[in-house]
Amino acid sequence: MAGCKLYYFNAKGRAELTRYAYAFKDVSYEDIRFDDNNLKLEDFKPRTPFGSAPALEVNGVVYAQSMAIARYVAREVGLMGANSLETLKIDMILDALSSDIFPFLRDVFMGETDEIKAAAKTKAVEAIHKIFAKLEALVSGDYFLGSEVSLADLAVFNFVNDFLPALGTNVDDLSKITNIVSSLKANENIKKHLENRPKTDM
Amino acid sequence: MPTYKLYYFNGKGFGELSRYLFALGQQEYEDNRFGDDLNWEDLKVSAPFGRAPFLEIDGERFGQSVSIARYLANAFNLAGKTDLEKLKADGIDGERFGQSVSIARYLANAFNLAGKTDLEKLKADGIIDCIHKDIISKFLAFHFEKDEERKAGIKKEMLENTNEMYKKLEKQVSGENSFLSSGLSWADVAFYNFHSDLYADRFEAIDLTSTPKLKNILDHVSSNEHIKSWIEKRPVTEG
Repeated sequence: MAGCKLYYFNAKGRAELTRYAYAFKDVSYEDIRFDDNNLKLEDFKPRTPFGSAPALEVNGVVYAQSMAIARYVAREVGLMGANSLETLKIDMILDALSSDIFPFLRDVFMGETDEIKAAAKTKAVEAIHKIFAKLEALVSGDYFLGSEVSLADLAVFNFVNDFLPALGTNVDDLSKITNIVSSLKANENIKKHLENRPKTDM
Repeated sequence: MPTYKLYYFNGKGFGELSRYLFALGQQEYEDNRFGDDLNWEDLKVSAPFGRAPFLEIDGERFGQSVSIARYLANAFNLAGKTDLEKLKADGIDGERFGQSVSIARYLANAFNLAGKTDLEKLKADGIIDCIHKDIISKFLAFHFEKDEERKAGIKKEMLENTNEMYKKLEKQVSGENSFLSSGLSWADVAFYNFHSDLYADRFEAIDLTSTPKLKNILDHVSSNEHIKSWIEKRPVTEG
C-alpha cells in the first residue's frame, strides 16, 4: 500500500470514504488536494481515465471512480468482509447509498434554482428515511457484518456525520445505525482523523 | 456451489448483466420473472430495499438454521403484510441481496470474470461505474423525460456525452479484445449489455470506426458461445 496517492479537491465529498478507510486501519497514503502544492485539476485531468476526481495513483497508474477506489482500498486494508457473501452484503449497502440517495444530492447542493434545490431536498429526505429504515434492519450485531467494522459502516458514518446535517434531518430514531455512528466517532483512529483533517464546507 | 435464484421483471433492463454472467459461468440458476404466476407487489416487501433485481443464495453457512420467516419479519417489518407461510412453501430459503451491480460483481468474482489482480478489479470497477453513472444515467434521464421539447434537448446532450465517453473508454482497453490485459471480464460484458441491449437499436447507428478497440470487445463478447446460446434461448422482450 505504501506510496498510494489520492487526488481530490480540498473537500470531503467523494473522497472522504476512502480517507476514512485508510484512517480506520491507520494505513498511510498521500492525501493530495487540488490547488495545494500548485497542482490544478485542469492540469491533472488528462492523466485520469475519465477526466474526473477523485483519482488514485498506484505504481504510477491512475485509477478513477470514487466507489471503485474506496472498494480497492478497503480490500487492501481488510474492510471488505471475510468472504464473498460478506462482500456482497457490503456492496449492496454501498450501492443503496450511492444509487438511491446520492443522485438527489447534486441538485440539493448545486441546483440551478431555489425551486430545484428545494424539490431535490424533499425527495432526498424521503429517500433517506426509506433507505435508512432498511439499513437499520441489515445491522446484525454491533455493525452490519456483526462484530467487525467494514466499509459499509464507514459509508453510513460518512453520510450521517458529514452530509446529513446539511439536509436538515436526522436518523436518531434508528438505534442500531445511531450505535454504529457513535461507536465509530469514538474510535481512536477516526477521532484522530476528524481532528486533523482540513475543515471544509463540503 | 450455492443454489441461485434471480428475481426480476420480464425484461433485460438491470437484470441482464447478471444473466450474461450466469451464462458465461455456465452456472445453473432460476431465472424468475415477475408476471401472472409471480407477483412483484407481494415480493416487493421482502426484497432488499424494495427493488429488483434481487438474488437469493442458498449457502450452507446461512443454511437451514436461518428461518426465512424470522429473518424477513425482523429485517423488513412485515407485520403480517405478506403471507410468510406461502413464501416458505414456495421453497425460498436463504439470504436475499439487492442492487444489480453488486449482484453482478459477486457473480463476476464467483466465475473469475472480475480481473486477475486487485488492480485489475479496481480498473474493472471503474469502468462499470463509468458506464452506469456517466452513460446509463444520462440515457435514463432522456428515456423517462415526458416533455417533448426538453427530451429533444436532452437527446442531443446524451448522444454527445455517449460519444465522448466512448472515446475515453477506448483508451481504457488494454487487451486485444478486452478492457483488462488478462482477458474477458465483466467490464466487457457490461459494455456489451449497454451498447447492444440498451442503446444501439434506439438511435442512429453508432459509428464505431473511431473506437475500433470497443468494436473488438463487442465482437468478442457477442461471438462467445455461451453468450450466443443464452441470447438464442432468452425470452424476447422489448427492454
